[in-house]
Amino acid sequence: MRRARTAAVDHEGRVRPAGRLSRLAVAGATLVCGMGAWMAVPAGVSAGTTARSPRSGHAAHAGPADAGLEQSWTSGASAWAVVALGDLGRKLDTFWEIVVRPAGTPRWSVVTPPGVASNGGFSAEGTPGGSSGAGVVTAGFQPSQYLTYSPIASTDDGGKTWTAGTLASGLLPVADAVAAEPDGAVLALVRAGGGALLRSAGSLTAWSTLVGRRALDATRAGRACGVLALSAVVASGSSSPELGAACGVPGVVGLFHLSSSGWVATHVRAPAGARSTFTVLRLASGPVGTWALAEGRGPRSASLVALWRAGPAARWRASPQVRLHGSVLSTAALGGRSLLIATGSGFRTQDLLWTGGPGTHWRSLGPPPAGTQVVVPAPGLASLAPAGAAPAAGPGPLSALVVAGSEVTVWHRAPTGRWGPSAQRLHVPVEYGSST
Amino acid sequence: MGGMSRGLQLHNPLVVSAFHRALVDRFLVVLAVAALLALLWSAVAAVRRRSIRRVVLNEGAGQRADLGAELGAGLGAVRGAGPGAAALTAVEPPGRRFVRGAFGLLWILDGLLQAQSAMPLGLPAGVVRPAAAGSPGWVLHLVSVGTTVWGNHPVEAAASVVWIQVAIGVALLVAPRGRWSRTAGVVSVGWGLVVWVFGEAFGGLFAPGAQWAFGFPGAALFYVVAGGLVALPERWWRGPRLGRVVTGALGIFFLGMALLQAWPGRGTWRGGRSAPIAVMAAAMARTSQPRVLSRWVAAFGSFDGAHGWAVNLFLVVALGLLGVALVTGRRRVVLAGAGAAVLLLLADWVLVQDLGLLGGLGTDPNSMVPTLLLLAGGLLALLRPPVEVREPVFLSVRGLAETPAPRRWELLAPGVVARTAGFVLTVAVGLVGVIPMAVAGASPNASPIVTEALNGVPGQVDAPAPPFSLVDQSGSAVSLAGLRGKAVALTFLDPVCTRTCPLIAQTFRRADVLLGARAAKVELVAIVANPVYRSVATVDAFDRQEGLNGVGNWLYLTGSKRQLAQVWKAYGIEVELAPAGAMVNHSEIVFVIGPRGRMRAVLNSDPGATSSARLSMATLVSDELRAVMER
Repeated sequence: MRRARTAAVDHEGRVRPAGRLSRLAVAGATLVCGMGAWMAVPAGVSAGTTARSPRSGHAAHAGPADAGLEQSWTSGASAWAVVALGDLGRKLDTFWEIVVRPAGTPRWSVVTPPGVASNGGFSAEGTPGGSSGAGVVTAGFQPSQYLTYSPIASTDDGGKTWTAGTLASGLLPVADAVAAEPDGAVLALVRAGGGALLRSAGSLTAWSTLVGRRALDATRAGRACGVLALSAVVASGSSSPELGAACGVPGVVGLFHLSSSGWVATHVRAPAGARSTFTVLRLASGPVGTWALAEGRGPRSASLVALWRAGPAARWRASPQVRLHGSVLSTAALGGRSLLIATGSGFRTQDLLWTGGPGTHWRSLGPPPAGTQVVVPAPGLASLAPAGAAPAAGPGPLSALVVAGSEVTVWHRAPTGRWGPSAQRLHVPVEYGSST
Repeated sequence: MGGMSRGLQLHNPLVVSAFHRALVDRFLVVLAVAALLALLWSAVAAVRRRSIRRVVLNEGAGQRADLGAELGAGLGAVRGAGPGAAALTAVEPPGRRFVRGAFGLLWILDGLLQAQSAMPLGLPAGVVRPAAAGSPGWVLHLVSVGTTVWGNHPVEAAASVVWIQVAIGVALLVAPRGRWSRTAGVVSVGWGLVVWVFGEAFGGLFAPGAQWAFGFPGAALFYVVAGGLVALPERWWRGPRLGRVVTGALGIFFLGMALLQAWPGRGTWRGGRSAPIAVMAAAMARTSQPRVLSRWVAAFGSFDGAHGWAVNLFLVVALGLLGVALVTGRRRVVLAGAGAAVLLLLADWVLVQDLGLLGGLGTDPNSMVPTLLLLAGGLLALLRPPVEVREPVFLSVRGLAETPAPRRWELLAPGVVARTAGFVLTVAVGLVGVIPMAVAGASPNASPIVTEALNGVPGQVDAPAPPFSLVDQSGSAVSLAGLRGKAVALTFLDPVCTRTCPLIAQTFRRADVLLGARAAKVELVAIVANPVYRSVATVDAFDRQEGLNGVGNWLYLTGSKRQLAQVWKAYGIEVELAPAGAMVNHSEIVFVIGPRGRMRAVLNSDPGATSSARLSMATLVSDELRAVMER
């Protein structure tokens, strides 16, 4: 009862002005500080947070530089390319296709190996041989969604039929993750154990490990590079696998080959890249030897350097370094030692860089048609120039595959350097939403 | 077909009918409790009448008049003293009564809104996830705990929430004073926090772009505050101090909201079609509602689109002035501020929040109404002193020496009995919500209804299962005949499928766990559904990928293309190579085969887009396997 009466008395009173002002000031200050702190929190918290699916870790790639999976090559008289179609803004609706222009025909057709969703991309390689003169093509599927290992397929009849196999692990997400040896064995760079090189016995289902990244890094050759990741593989003409790596040691381009005494470093000191760390993006072999493309990442800029050598015993010869804007999207080996590099971002090629071979400077060919994914040399061009021939004066005839949704348009480059569309448009029956 | 998971329609008839059935079932439980209480009530009343008659006989005519008057007044106190025994007591303070009653009604309204047919399947995707969008990972994770429980048991959860919220509302209404009333306040705080965290993702506190006009910091937070006020000891309400605290706190809140609206870089000053309020209003105007309201909302959205900067300036200034007015504590200023707040809050409630509950899946009237009610409660506490009245007091019974004294419970006042019965009923209402919710929350499984809603109810059959003879993941021959004596769950999986087949495989793995010791009498069998990738190495790689290589009763069978085609045909499985890099299309079906080789059930096995759907399928598969073992 006393409380009630006291309250009634209280109810008649007023709050003292001085107390109210001080409370107001404290409340205001607290409010401003609190709001400021609170507004700062979400940005800080969300900056470090990304939604991750339980299995997305499979797609992680340790390499410090990535190149696109789009690529082209000529094999015998046929031209091949890997392009991405569909809704390029949505990973699961981006379907990677293998297209071929067989010898003797101007028309391109889709020969993507069936039976697997290709929305993870391909690592593919063509080598001479095969029953139809179109070469032997080996294509490994990159893991996608819940598929964490890589199906692999090979064709020797221009993509009419494919032989299927399986890797127990996922391929590393690099363009040159598979390579075929002359004896039919296949080399594959996989993610297991932080990166490893496997070799099949020929059936594409039984694999043995040749070397792992950690084991390579522990060798004397590996320590000189500081192997961060395996990044490319090729089977040179002598059947000896050659490996490209991402090096942690600045200025070193990590190139290895397997000799009878084990893995041997054939490192190259980049001409002007003392402060850059290099990743071998591509490794390919052809009639005139092996070539490599490496990307250097420095504190402020990125650069490219191409390297060639005529055989396992020969020394690597490097091109001058060229500044890289964006990233390397695709590469193509042209006649002799000439190389063409498409650079840009996303799936948009913004510039074409060409070099005629060791010692020749890079030349910009300017932007190709809008929507160009890969530039393809004329069939047979890669084998035209004999070893030791003088560097080519220009890239020669080129075709560009321009992609819009599920349609590919073929453009040709005239000797004047102008691009014009051909009559062929390739409609690809992409099944949107089929693999999501 | 593989890779083409379908979503669930919000008004899925199976789920809606189960939801309605659950609501009715629980209502019947409540009715039964009410009937029991009514019986108890009449028994107590009868005993009490007898006791009073006994007292009257013993005390004589002089006291008969008192008792008669008392009974007539219904106050129920049996006393030996005269009228002068009444004592001075205070009635419930008006502010408290208002807050308790208003939020009691709001809880009941929210409970009824939870009874919408689309709520079981719609709440996570239509309410919770949008509220959590943009929040940091830990908030999303926390919210996902709630949505997972809801998704696993949508019918049980939705029905429980209806009854929990109705019970809280009823408890606030029927228990005006004392411990039970304060308990109702505490429960309101607890459940309000649950709703605020799991249903409103902290009201968008940690999400970028939160705006007062849209409902920040969440309606449930006001329910929590109101519950807290009811839970306070009643003496706190006896003076104006609490009213000053409430109005002052609301003043600080308005000042904070003014700062929030004014803070640069949050998009609040933006105009044009992308102005947040214009976007919100346009979205709200499109929902189903009376046309006149839709026109108002759309018109305001257009106005904001044209004058977004000015609208926000008005909001900032108005909120700032309201805040200052309420913080001053001066009666007239506070009253003026409260009047302006009513106008501003109602305008926002109608023109921006679109009444909060129309169209879509409204679960409450949004934040403006509870803000107003809190403000009104605070004002009442500030401005209206509690009234003191004389109440008769229960005194001891005298003059009963000749007969045995009535027991205390026999002399309980009717009001006390009514309140007790009311509260017991309320607890019963709450329990029909809480118990199933607790059971659902504790269960690691999901209700089969989720997958049944997606895939249909399993077809019951009784026919011999087509035989097959293939090789397993280790290359050993396996035939259906060799599996006699065991129940078999048989499905068809593409080993290089990127989406649905790994998920179906995981449901099999989960079903194996659910079967426990009975798994020893079960074989989980998959047959390759890919004509290209069908080697033993491939199925072994799939098993390793899915962690099935350690499951003892798992068999992944393959064979030649011809052998597989024969099995596909025998079981009616369509397998089709798709062009242009698409995965293989194939039927997604689970066959449940009894120990004697007879097919007993056929289930569509689209694993759905949620983990709940997959858990649900695992539960259904294990249930069907148990059923065939018991036949």
